[in-house]
Amino acid sequence: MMHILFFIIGFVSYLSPVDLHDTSFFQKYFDSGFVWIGVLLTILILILWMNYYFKHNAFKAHYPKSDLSIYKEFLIIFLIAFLSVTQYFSYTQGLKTRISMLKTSAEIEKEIDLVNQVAPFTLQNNDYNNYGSQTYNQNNRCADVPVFDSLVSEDAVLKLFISRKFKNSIWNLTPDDTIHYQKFKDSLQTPLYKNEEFDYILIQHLPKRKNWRAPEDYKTQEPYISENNYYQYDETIVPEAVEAADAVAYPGAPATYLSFNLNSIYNFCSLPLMVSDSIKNGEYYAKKTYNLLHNQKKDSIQVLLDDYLNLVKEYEVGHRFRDKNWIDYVYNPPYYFVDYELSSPSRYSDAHKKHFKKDYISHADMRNTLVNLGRSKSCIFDPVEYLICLYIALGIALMIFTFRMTSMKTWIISVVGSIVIYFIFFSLFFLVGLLIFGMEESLASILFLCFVFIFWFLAYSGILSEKRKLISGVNFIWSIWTFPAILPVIVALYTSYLDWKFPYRYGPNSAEHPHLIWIRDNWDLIFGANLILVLLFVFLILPVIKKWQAMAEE
Amino acid sequence: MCVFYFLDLPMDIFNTRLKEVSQFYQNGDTNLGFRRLIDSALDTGSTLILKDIIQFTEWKYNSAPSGKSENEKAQELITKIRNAGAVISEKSTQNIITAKSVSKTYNKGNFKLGPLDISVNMGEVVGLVGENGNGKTTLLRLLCGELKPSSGTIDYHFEESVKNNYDLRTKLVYIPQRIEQLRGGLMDNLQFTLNSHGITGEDNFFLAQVMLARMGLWTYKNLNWARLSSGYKMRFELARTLLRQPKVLLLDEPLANLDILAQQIILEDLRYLSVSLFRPFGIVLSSQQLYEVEKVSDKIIFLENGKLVSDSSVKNEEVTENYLILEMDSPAERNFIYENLKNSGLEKIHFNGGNYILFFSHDKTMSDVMSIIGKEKIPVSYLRDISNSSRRFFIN
Repeated sequence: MMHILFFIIGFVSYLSPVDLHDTSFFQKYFDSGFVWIGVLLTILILILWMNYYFKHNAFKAHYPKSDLSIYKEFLIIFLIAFLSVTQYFSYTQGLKTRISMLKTSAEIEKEIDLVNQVAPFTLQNNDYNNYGSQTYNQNNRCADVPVFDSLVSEDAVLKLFISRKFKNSIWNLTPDDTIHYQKFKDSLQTPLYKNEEFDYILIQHLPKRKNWRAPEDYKTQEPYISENNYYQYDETIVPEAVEAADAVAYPGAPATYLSFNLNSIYNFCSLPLMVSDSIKNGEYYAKKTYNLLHNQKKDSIQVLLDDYLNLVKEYEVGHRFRDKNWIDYVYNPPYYFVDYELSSPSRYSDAHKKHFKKDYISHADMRNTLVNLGRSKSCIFDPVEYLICLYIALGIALMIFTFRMTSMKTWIISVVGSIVIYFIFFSLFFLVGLLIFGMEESLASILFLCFVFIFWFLAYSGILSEKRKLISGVNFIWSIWTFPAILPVIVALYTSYLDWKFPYRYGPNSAEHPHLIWIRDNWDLIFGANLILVLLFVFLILPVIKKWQAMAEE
Repeated sequence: MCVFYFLDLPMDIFNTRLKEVSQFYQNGDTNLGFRRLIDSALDTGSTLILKDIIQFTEWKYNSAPSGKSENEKAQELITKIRNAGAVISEKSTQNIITAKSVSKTYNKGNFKLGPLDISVNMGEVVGLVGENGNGKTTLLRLLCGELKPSSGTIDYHFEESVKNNYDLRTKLVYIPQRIEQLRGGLMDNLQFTLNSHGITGEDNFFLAQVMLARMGLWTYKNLNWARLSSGYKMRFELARTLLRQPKVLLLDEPLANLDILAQQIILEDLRYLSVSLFRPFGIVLSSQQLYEVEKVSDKIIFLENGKLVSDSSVKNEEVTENYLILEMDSPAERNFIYENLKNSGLEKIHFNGGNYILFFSHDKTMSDVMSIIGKEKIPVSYLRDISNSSRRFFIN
């Protein structure tokens, strides 16, 4: 019932397309505060269920009970605990169902394809977008762009490369250098534009590309971007270029940066939104863009932009094109340099946002919308979410199970004693840490394992010899409660050991220990296996639980 | 392993018991007849018979029939039960508990129980008597495995093999003086008990109802346990316990909260149920109600300061051979009684909390004494021979 309720709540939680702009839209359960309602409901349901469940206790009353029957009881507790803590999944499924009803998969794919095609024309600042790899810089192109390559010769790049390599400075680059350049031809990266030197040569052919950027609009003195987020340019050191750039500076605007903007739509490369057709990768879209630009298909570009704007209206994505039409910002043949950002005002500080009067489009919101629409159709299984819920359920189940299988007195002493043990543990940790080892996590792990060993020793020696029922019982409960942590702690200890024994050094010949890499890549597998181990452990200790329960008092 | 077989000989115990039930009804002892009727029905192990019993009980409680019509219906039912036959346990008198030199010393305090040698047989009722603080509860807890003996051994001899200590504890049912608090309704609790013992489906429901009827709780069957009086709680506890099919039933002061009539009924019922043909069991019960316990016990164990003073299964020549001991309640003066009886063999007289304890020479009999009392016109409101009763140990 609770899950149906949360499914419905999730279903009706979608209010408008603006909701879809949020990258963590499907985490709405946590962001909207429903998590607290869920926690309260979990507590309430568990209390109500326990009130019913604790009415009878066949095991404590010494009714006949097989190991399998006890184990079945544990699994039922575990299942109920799991169902009580997984409202998130029902809520999210409700939300997903609602969103998946907005569009068909084919429609979404079509829209994604459109957005991927228009992405180069959205002129978003790379620093502020969420996808990292989106760039107009030629160093990260997805496909060859001969329009720039033809401006720079291999020889020129090679000469500059050798000069920098041997003289460690491009200031010393001289045309009559005696070095035999061709000998080092293989040292260059291919394609040629990937070499850092390419830019330096290219700029000599495009001296007017002095950076137009300034921290504020030269007319209104309003900031373009917040103060701490200026685009960081490297200092340009080609003297001719500096000179040329100064000459084309905007009137009245201080030439704040001696740098050049060679960003072009030609160079645009981004990780496209995924579509089912695997051919439609970054290179595919880069080639499409190249064709549009190279063939100067302004009309086709205009159609794409119009379609995009229709989508923008449908999904209530923020935009403003009052100063100029969108096409006028992007259609600058033959090189299609990017001289303007259409980044959203949401990327600027609040103080500046209210004065912000420039054309923009929130492409990131459009991407997020389509990503969320796509996710609503996918059935991707996130093991981490399930593992978290399973471990919470396991904790609850072990608490309830130990309460059911032992006496109330023993269980309460175990709970209160845990607090005492906790203080002893940390006292020892600080004491030993200060005096001998230093307070490292490996010390905590070793101490933890020592405590666990003591619990096991006191529990099992007492139960096997049928002595000290209360002390054995308390330690037995502690050994059960701490069992789920044993394997993770051992793994953590082993990781610390590997870190100490094989320290990672940055450098070309240094590599992490393969076990460390495996542990890091498979931690969810380790926790999953640990869960199975705990379930197996509970099954194996059932005869011991029975033995303890039947033990006579002294 | 317990071997069961269906009995069809007409002169067996089962049929004899049914004849008794029939006679109870014919004589108008409908309450006793009803309880025994259910006991016999339970011995059949038949679901159909249980159904009939429930119908009979509903009819009995709803229509409050006359003795005649109840008798008629009961006779029909007896015939059905007879035809169904009984499932009987082959070995119903075997030894089930043997305690040898068992002692218990507590870390705190000076009390020590034992060493004691005790044995309990299947179908046997062992009465455990003694003043407060003499070790009755400790002995019961030792026998049920709740306490560990300081020395000695307790062996259990059940036909079915015991896999582990927990398995053993399922066969030893101990009802403490302060019974465990239960939650939920009566039926709910009984059905859970039956379910835990593998009895499910309609058998579960019928058996739970029949047991409520058997223990006189039919009219309270829809009540919550918490709403029962303490006496009825003990009855219910017995009902719940009997459904557990115990091998040994250990009862600590079960009569404490019962009225005098209920005490007699419960004791008689326990006596009768312990020799059930289907599921016999041994009983060890502690009580202060000496006479009532003695009436139903096969054996009386008297404890004093943790020591065994008397075990009725062992002849105690020292006391019983020397005197005829009588307990008498009389408004007459002590001297008057003594003067009138001294020539008739009265050797000494004690006044013990309202009653006189008279010690006659061992050659005298109860009839002799009664004849003299009549002759001397000594006023008597109560007289009992306690020569072989544990009551004699409670003399100041």
